[in-house]
Amino acid sequence: MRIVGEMRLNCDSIYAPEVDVIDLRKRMGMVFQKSNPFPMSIYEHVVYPLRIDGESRRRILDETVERCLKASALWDEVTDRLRGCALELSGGQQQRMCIARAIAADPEMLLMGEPCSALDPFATSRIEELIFSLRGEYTVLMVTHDMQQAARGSDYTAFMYLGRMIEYGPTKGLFVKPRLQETEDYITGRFG
Amino acid sequence: MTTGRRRWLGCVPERPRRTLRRWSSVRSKEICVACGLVALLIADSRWLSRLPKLSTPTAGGQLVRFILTLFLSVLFAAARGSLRGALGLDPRGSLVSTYFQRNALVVGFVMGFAVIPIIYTIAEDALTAVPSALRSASLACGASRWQTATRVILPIAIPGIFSAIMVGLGRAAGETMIVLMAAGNTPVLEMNIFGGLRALSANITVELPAAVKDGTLYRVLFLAALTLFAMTFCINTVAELVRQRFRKRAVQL
Repeated sequence: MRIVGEMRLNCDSIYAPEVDVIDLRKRMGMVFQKSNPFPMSIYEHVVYPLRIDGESRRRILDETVERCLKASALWDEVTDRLRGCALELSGGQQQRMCIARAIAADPEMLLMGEPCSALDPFATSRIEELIFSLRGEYTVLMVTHDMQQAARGSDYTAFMYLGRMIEYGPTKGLFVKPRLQETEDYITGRFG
Repeated sequence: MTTGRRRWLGCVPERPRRTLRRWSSVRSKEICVACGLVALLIADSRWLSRLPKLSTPTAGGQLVRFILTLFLSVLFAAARGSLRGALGLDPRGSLVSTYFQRNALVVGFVMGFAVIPIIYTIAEDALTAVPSALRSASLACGASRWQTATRVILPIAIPGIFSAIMVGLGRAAGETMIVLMAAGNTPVLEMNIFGGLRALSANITVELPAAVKDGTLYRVLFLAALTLFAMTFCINTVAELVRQRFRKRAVQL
């Protein structure tokens, strides 16, 4: 693998040799394509990032669970079974719970690798709503194959193809009037 | 040279040479400290990673490091032993009541090594059966590899590891030759771990030729065999039950 250019998270280069990967992961929350809940209770699941930092004060844990589950629009659905197993939730609920886990550590930004590709349209719209509601608090970087999804909610869009950044700009500009022929071919579905 | 050879052949050992003895008694403390420090430094990977030449995680480098550490720990043990000898602090006879050269502790170590492959293979299966998505989920939360292992992977794999240990235990309980060789073949067992012992299976093999048919010893030996069978059977059954339950849970994930 070869990397050209630089990536910065709030001015700190993330590929610098002295960067502590674990610290970096705490600053960037990650949501995966397939929801990956731990076989724990919903409560324990959400406070996991706090637990690994050694937090055990009841009050703080309770507050975090409530704040994160409310932020991920899951609180009303699971209030009565916080101690139940996280694996009993539906796919969309599991994915929202994973988002709750990602924001529990209070990261600076959220990375999402196709968070909706394994979900049905209804669950997808719930997740999208959730992501849009988080936009004021976190920078969300989402990867998607769904052109409409990218156009719907994002402020900026980057078109990447085979590991190369082709075009980057404000979403409106990129979808309405792309600068490159390649981008236009891709968004109109004439690619390849 | 001749002294050494004679000693090896079992002759009466001569007194060690004066210089060697003085060296060992005077220097052993320094040797201890030095060896301990070096062993610690080698074992501490954080220090090692600052050395760019040694920190390459190649198999060869790790092997060299392992052999070096092993050599140094043996050296360390020898130095400590000679120091204790020089100071006259022999625990045998005082701290430890009776000491046999072939004892339960030795057989414990040797049996431990003998059942490692069995425990290792089953436990490894249990650990690799944990989905890698969970591993990456935990790492993404900012957990270190150690935290991931202890908080996520181990709790999921623990039934498999338990069953591996049970199977190993069952295997160790039925072992004959190692116990017979290393434990001194002493039929009377005591609580002292430096005393000898004789395993049930070894007892059956050793005493069966001497037993008169339908005599008391003969019956006792059959009882011993029955006990051994029941023990192994129970251990293996429990191990298998736990494994089945573990498999059911793994499917759920």
